[in-house]
Amino acid sequence: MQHPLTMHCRPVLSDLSQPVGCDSYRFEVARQIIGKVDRNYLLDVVEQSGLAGCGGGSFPTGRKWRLYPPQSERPGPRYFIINADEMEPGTFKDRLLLEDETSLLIEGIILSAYILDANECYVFVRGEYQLAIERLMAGIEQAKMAGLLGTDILGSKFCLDIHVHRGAGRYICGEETALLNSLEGRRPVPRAKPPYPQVSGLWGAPTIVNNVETVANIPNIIKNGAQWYRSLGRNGGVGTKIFGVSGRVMRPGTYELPMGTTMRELIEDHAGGMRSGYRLRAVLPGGASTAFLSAEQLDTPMTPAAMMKSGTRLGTGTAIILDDQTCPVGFIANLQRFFARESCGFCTPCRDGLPWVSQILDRIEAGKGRAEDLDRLSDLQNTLAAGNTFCALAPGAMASLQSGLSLFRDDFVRHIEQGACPWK
Amino acid sequence: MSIDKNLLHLTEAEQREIQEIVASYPHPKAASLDALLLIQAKRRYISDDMLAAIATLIGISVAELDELATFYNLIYRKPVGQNVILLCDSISCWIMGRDAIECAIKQQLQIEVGETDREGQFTLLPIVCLGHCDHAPAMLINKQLYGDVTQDEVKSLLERHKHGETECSTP
Amino acid sequence: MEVKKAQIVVDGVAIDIDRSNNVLAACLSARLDLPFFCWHPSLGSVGACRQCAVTVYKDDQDKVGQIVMACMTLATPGMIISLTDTKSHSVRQSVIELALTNHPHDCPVCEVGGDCHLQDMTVMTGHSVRHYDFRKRTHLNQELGPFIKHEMNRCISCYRCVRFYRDYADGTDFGVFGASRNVYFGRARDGALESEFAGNLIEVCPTGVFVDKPYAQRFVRKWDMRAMPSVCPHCAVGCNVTIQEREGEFRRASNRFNAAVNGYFLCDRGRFGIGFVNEPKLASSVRRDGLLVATNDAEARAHLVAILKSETVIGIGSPRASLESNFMLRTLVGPDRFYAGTSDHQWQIAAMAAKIIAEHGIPTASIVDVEAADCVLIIGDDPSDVAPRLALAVRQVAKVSASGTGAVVDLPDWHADARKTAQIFDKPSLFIATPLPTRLDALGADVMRGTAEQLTDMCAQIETVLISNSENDQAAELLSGRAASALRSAHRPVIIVGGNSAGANLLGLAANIIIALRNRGADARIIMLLPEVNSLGLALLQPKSLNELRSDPTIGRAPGYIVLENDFLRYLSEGALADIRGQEAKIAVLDHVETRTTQGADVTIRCANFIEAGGIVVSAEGRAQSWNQAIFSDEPVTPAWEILHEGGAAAELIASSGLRNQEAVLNLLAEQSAIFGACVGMVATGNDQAQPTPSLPFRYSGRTAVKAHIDVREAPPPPSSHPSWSASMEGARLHPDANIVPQFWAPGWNSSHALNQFQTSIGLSLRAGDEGVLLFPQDSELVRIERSPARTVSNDAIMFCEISPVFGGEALSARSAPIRERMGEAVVVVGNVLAKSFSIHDGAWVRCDIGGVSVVRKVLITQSIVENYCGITINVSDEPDLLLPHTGMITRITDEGRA
Ligand SMILES: Cc1cc2nc3c(=O)[nH]c(=O)nc-3n(C[C@H](O)[C@H](O)[C@H](O)COP(=O)(O)O)c2cc1C
Ligand code: SF4
Ligand code: FES
Repeated sequence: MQHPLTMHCRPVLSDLSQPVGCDSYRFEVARQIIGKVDRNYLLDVVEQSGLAGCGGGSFPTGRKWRLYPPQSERPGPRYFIINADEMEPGTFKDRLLLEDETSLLIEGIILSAYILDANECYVFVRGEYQLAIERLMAGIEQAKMAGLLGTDILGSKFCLDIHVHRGAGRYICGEETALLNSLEGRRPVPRAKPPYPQVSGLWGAPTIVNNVETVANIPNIIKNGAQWYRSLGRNGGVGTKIFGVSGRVMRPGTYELPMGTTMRELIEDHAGGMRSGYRLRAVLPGGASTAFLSAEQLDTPMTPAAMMKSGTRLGTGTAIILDDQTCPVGFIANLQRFFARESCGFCTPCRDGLPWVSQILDRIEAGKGRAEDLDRLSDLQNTLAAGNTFCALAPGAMASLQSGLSLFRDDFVRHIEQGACPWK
Repeated sequence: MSIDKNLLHLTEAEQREIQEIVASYPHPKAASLDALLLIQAKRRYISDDMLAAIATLIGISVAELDELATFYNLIYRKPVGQNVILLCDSISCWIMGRDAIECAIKQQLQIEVGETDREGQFTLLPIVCLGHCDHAPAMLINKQLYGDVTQDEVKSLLERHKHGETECSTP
Repeated sequence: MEVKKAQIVVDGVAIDIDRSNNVLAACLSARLDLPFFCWHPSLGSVGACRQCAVTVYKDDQDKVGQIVMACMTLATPGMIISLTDTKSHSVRQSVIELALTNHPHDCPVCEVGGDCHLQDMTVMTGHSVRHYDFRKRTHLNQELGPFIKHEMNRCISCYRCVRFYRDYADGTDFGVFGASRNVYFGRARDGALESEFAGNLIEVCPTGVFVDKPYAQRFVRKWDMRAMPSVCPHCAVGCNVTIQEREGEFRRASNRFNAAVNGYFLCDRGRFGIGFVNEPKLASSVRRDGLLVATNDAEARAHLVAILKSETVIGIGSPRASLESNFMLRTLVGPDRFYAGTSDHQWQIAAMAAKIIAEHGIPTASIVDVEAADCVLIIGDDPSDVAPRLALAVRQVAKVSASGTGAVVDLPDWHADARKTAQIFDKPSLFIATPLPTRLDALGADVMRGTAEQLTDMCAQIETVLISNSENDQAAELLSGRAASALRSAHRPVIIVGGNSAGANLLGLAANIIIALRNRGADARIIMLLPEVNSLGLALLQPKSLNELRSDPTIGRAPGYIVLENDFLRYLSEGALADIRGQEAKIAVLDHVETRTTQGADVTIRCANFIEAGGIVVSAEGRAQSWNQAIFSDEPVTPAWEILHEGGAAAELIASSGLRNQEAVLNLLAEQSAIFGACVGMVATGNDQAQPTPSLPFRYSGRTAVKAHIDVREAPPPPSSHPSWSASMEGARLHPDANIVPQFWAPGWNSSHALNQFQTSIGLSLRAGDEGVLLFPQDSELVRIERSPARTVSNDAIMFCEISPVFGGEALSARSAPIRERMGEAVVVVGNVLAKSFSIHDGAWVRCDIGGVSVVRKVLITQSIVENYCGITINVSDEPDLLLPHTGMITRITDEGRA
């Protein structure tokens, strides 16, 4: 099985202190491409590869890039931004790439910026990722030494600088327009779209924001072609994806697997199945903003489309396992507490609705729930639906609540009727 | 002039560093977070005086800077201890028993979440998912990330930080 | 259904849309009830509150539709939407319930209860049952100074305050702190809000977080107050205000929308300065044995008659009195003996302004013109202090100039946040050339500091470049060159010019630039900075200057002086004062406030102030607007013109019948000077519009009648001198075509947002008109003004120029208690070089000797001032006028020396 994205990664649980592969990295693809291959051709390759954004939205990267106006239309500063704010609960894939595939990522940035003809890149890394920041800085230094950053790169007239920007912690900074505000030193509340960042992004200039994993795919796609990339997938998926598993499985961790691998394969074959004594009840397939996949749906292939069909989303592809000895109400309550706290406070439904949701869930979990609480929760979940709120944070939060309310209705009712959490 | 008095709270080296950051962005305001993090790294938290000094250097008002400082999780506007414990409270760590770890820390330090122990050594704060879910429960003490933390090792971990052995490698 | 090009269909009914309007504005323009919080007609849309949800359908077949926020959705022709469908209705209902989760139910004790947009919207959505049963989050309040009371717990976090204060008014000391549910709107620390526009927070906030503090201290419910429209008396912009009173006591002033003048906002000098009317007023008195003793009006007026019978009667007019009063005085004393009671310098400026508008036909700019200008040149003075509302408009120029990315990305005007993002690097097309620093410099304007001579040269150069049609290479490096080339390509340029620092000459030169621009086809306009509400009105009556008074040989012994609402003795030099005393003049003063002049008078006669009787004033724009009687006490106060008329008749100077009412006065004025013709129409009787105005609010009831202890029936207000300015007992009602809508109220709309229902379309003029009248046709022939030589000052002298601070810088505002609290220290602004040569430091105390007057000031050092110039704040209430600009000396003094 191929795992182009994580070729250089440390084996599970090995030493964190040594970066892998950095010094010897050759930037071969970039050397062959920059100044030599036509941008439009490269853009076609990316588009045809079917690469979809890995930040959670699965938006086709080629299509996003097409909306970026060419230099001739919009001269002046043009930005390319790497979203490395990974804060979605249960998600730990970007850190892996930032720490262990630093050079691959940097090569991805150089190639992407070249295709887009963008001259400034900011990597927005969450402040807690200390090691990632150090390695990025080192990697950028190395790329500079190798002549792949700066002005007139490889004699092609193409210029690029990469800046590492440390975040100061807030989940909303991962939302791409809030990220731009954060970078600008404004309060990181999301921006209204349209205008999209491609047209009016960082300081009003054309801007593309991509996830770390998305960009790390670019060198191999350019090197091996769209067809090769597509062929890596299974069950209708394209390429590979870094999946993750956390919770009570034998081998929690990250696994680069073909897109379209089923959830069951991921959990049973790769993560080694449940720890002894635990049974799987449901899975959040791609981070805290996705809806539950029930135990019966485990054979769903992990592709954006198939996940959608099963009533959830691929999200970040990092699964969180709910086992039978963990209280589902407590589980959902934990998620909602997170979202309530991390709401940016800009729009009414999210700012004032999520705390209410969270308070009701805490009350139910504490055994003080009331019969009408469940109706109130479903009302709130309707109010906080997509379109009613300013950005996708609150609707994302509602995914687990909505699916949880129907999947675990009995458990909710038991809490209320018994006046206590049956798991305590 | 009265404005310059604000700057007295920063050393000349600090002022220079902030000016460099400001110069590195197309718009001075963008330097706000870097400057706050820089000064916090040196002084542990952002006091009102620091805030005013940084705002002056960037050329924005105190209110404008405090709008940012009060927004972020990692900017401390109140004094914190020598060591800041950020204990993940997100879902995977919760499943894997982070509540018990929190209890152990609270008991060990005799504090509640959000407080600093009497010796001024430790401040305990919650943090969102640290991206270490495969090694839950996870926590960050200063720059050091810990995974698979058990109740039993809490005491020794804290001891180590207390004695300043913070730059050691992973557990 | 047949839907026209510029229409959308709302619940089956076609409504008109303006180009580039959003759906919310379109619905409100059609007077539909659609709730909103964060959207504001002037602040635009950001989509934060999520209250304005509507359902949009793809086509006739679509029965499901999609929820969108109306304020963030461009209304496109043919669009089909619904407000009444259950889907959007339930979203709106749930959203308001969420907004209210932390809101205290303190309406019964809240100052805005019954005047609250949040209440209105709650009722409008139908939300009535509270389900939230957890603890509310609470906040501590801040002390925000004498104007505004802070009640943070009432906040629903719509973000309007911070958008107004920071994004619109460019204030820096206010913000939004924290995140998630814990967001806080206030200052970084306790302290008075610094922006002179902070008072607008009261009206911008949809609920009671920012409360009018003086009003809160003498509080009555909105529906227990009478309301009448009026004009702010504190500067020549002439912003429209609504005055509310109860029991003959002024309670509060709030913004009254006038599309051409002040739009949605006032400055704090206006809003809080008007409180001067509640301070002790002048009493009628006569001098006996050297002392002024109080007397009744009849006796005082008898003395006035005696003075009017003097051989020579001299009339001193007033820039803060109405046209009627000034004209009546001129009529009594004759044009040859009618003087402007201002400094000669101010007289020259006002006379020049009048000449430029009335004789040279130069078109003036309204606030709207300024906001829409594509290039603004400010010459001479800072409008921030003299005409604050105008300065606020200039601040918008910096935001709409779309020279940068804003132009590349096509963004509608209302898309507030996106525009802010797109324009961050835009340099506004704003040029400032003054000797002193201005508060607008910081907008990123192109700034030049110059002496009077340099400024006049600059104007002449610009004009030459524009006429010669050539790039002046020499000037390209200079502001004159840059401004000239920006003006050349502008379609709607505006020049703001003040003569305070550099003289009246500058006004004429600026006017010449306007002529050059108009000859090139641009719609160029001028606005001249004048100090008082009726400065232009007085100047148009062509009073003579005090200088001429001094040198008039025909004035013999014991002349009579009739002084109209003016502290004119302030403006006399020691020598001139001595001359008048030497003549053994008898001085009668008609005023409503006590001044140095009333203290030195032989007779003082209490006349009505601007809310006690009606009158017309002319703004710097040349717009005649009327004060309406807004306060109705048991003992009505007579306006000065009536007192004068009566006295004149008794002294047999005029016929006793002729000028009985305002219409007659204005008719005579119009006969003598045709430009005032339009004023007659403003007060014309004999048509329907002359009905008494229903000033009582709808809900005024027997229960709350002022004299309920005597009779539960409200007594009718006493009659007024003019029917259209008098008030009836009728309640205010939606009366779209009434001449004067006393206050805005519509079913379901109890707060100031009821205004929506009275506008022709959101942001546009009132359906009833009521914008005053521009006295000058704007298409007359333009005549160039000859340049008179600029005054030259010897190089080593220090030139002092006036800073008339926004708070207390004119005649009346310093008399209002909250304004007094906000008046800054008296300072002299000195440049680095000068400070060094005098070895004075920032904050030092100095004595300034200026033309025989010596005053003490605190030093404020600035980097940005022209060499050898100083700015000095004037102190209207405690000092004689410094007759600036003037040369003088600075001497350092010690703290003891100060005492
Ligand atoms: C509340 C919220 C948080 C998000 N956080 C992240 C994040 O931490 N990292 C990320 O790459 N994308 C995040 N996203 C998605 C980004 O908005 C954006 O879609 C993504 O960075 C685009 O990159 P891609 O197309 O490469 O996936 C978040 C979105 C929302 C609404
Ligand atoms: S849904 Fe609203 S409050 Fe929540 S994060 Fe998005 S914009 Fe902020
Ligand atoms: S008014 Fe539309 S979202 Fe607030």
